[in-house]
Amino acid sequence: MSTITVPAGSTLANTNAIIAQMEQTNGPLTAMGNDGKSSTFTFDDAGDNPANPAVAQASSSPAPANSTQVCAGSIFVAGTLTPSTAYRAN
Amino acid sequence: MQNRLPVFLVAALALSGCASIRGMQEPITASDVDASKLVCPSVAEVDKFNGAWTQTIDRRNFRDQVIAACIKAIDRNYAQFKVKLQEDAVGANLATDLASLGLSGAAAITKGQTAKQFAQGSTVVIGIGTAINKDVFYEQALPAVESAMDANRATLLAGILNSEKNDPDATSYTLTSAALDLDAYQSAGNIYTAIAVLTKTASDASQQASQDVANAQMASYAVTAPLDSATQAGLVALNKSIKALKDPADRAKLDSIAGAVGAQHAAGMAFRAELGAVIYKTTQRVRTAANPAAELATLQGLVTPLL
Repeated sequence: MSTITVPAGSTLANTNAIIAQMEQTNGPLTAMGNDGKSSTFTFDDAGDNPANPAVAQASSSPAPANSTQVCAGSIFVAGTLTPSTAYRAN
Repeated sequence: MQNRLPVFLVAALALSGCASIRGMQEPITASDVDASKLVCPSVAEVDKFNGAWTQTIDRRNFRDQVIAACIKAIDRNYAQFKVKLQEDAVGANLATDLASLGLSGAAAITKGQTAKQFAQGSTVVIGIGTAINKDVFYEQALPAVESAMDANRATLLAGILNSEKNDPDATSYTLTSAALDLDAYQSAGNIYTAIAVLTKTASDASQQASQDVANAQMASYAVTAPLDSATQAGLVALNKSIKALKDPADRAKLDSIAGAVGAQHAAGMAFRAELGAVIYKTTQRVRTAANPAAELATLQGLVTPLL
């Protein structure tokens, strides 16, 4: 399992770009959260690389159509700790 | 008659049949301590101890003397057991070695079908030696097994002595209580228990090693921005080629790659876990490098020849 930290100031777009790359190189996103200073994302390195990337968004937003929830947790979005959920398109 | 096994082989089988090893010490008997005893401590001793004694010093002295006699008897049997264990192992190996040498020597000076039988018999005897006597096991594992037995016994003996010391009036640590501890002390002279302890120790060490690797894998690292597209594509391709390795055919390749890239992996680690450790390491090295593209090139140079 790999856990990366992403700076608190990262935008949601930047964070999702990193998640997408990590899923391509390592494996599926399994958890997300924060350590008080940064956002944290964990990937299953030995897992199959997903065809569609997990995409994080504010939990307050409606779930995308035809997608499956991957994980949820509070992450920093542009400096603000935000309850978020990651979905993957089916 | 030609199909009958040579006499040497029959003799060797008989010798090997004698090579069984006793797994635990002999229990102490009446003659080991005192002719009047059936167990240690005896029923008579327990009754005497539990009698209406008024002098606590007598109770303590009596208890300690009985326990000391029992420990001495158990220790004597244990010492004999260890000597016998060594004799059994050495004797078993010697019997097989001699039988094998005898058959080989006979084959060298005998012609025709008999020689073939001797030669075939020699192979069979060597095979028996491997299966039954397990030379390597006894040479390498017996000292460890004996050490484990010694350690078990020392722990239990310390418990008995501490119990005596902590109850100078012999009111709570009675001979009945001591009898249970003495039984456990005697039972500790047992290779099956010792092997179980060694197995657990090895298992614990293996789990700790796996946990260390898991902890190392879990060490997080900072990622501030996506990689450039060329480096990302190169890293995807590199990791994909590593993930294409199959268990168990490519185990040696994976071990080599893990070593080359500096991925932590323990002996006996599950293939999938080791694969994850390698993927973690390649990505971590690229993403934390001052020059990710150059680091990727380095990794490609290390990994590609090993695939």
